[in-house]
Amino acid sequence: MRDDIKKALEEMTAEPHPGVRNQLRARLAAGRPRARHSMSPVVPALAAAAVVVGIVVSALLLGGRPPQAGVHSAPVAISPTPAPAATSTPSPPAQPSPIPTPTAGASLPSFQCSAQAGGRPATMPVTEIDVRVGTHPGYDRFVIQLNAPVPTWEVRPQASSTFTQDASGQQITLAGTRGILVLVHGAGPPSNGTWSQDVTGNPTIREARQIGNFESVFSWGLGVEGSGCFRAFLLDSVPNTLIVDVQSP
Amino acid sequence: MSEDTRLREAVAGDGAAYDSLLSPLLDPAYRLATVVLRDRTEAEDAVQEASLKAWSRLHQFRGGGADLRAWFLSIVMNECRMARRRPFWSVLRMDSVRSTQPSAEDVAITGTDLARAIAGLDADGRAALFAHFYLDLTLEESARLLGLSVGAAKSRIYRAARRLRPDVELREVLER
Repeated sequence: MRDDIKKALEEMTAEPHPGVRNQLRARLAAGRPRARHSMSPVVPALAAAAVVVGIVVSALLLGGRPPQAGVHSAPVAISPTPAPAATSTPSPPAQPSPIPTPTAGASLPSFQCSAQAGGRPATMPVTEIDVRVGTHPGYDRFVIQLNAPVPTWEVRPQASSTFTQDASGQQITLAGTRGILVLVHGAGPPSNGTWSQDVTGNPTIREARQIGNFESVFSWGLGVEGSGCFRAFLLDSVPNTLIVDVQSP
Repeated sequence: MSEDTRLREAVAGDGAAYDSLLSPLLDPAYRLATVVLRDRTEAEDAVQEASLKAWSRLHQFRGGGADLRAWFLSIVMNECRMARRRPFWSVLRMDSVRSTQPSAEDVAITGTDLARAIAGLDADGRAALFAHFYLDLTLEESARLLGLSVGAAKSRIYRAARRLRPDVELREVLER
């Protein structure tokens, strides 16, 4: 029985794709991640209590009344926005359009140097994708516009601009000193037989190239200059659009 | 260079030493993640995350190089559990699992029914069978991997085996 089960389990699985090892090596080469130290639940409770006591004491010393609960609110940072809920009718196909620019005064997420993710599981197939790159003060903007709500997505930094192509496993090195991998899960086959053209020539995003469209995962590699820090988010004002701003050196 | 020496160097931050320790563990780790998650991309992600977490926590590892496998696989298993809790778990694609299997001719020769029966088990049952039968872990190691007591792990392995063959006896399941 042991041998039969072992053989069956072996048949159900496979050794990892060579690209997995290479990708992992690249992440290891970026340096050891910091361990997250577990914190006792007492610590944040004590900190919160200390803050409340401090506020009350300050208010009393200044002659005022203690503030009421809920009056004070900390500034809220914008995190990657989830995709809007799917509607029953597909949106119009992605049309080439200008690079979305941030609204004056709108607060954007801060740049981070770690992986970011968001979105919701695909509820309708993505069959058209338009990709653009634009340059703005302080960053270059990579825009993926779809013809359906943005499904789950991930954006991962990497120490080099060498990527492993799906599904061939072949390495490809883009312009730039670092890389950013953009993954969109749930993308279907392109209705027009191809995705957008590759983009080159911007100062920070030196090269953007489709890395793969395999098993419903659509991926783009960005070869970038500078720290490789970025912010990835969805814009309410431009539906079906994933934006990755890469910080300029 | 011995495994223990490489382990010490990896704990000190030597990425190459860690890579050499990790390399032989990737195959069983990836297969374990594939069996549990039944999705190749998810399995790759789980193994990558586990590899980075293991490196960042290597200083907490107590044991010799020989114990590293069970320790690392328990981290992979934990990543698989976390992956299954994520919202997009509900839309996993079965075709990606099938694509990792051999050709139809190969399967026909080597017991398709058993593979199908294993695939029909829940993730905990598949993980229990994989730990015990494929990885050949001891009951203690299997228990650690599955996050159970030794008794509960033994029970889970036996239960999963009985789903495949109802008349199987505990002795037959546990014998090596």
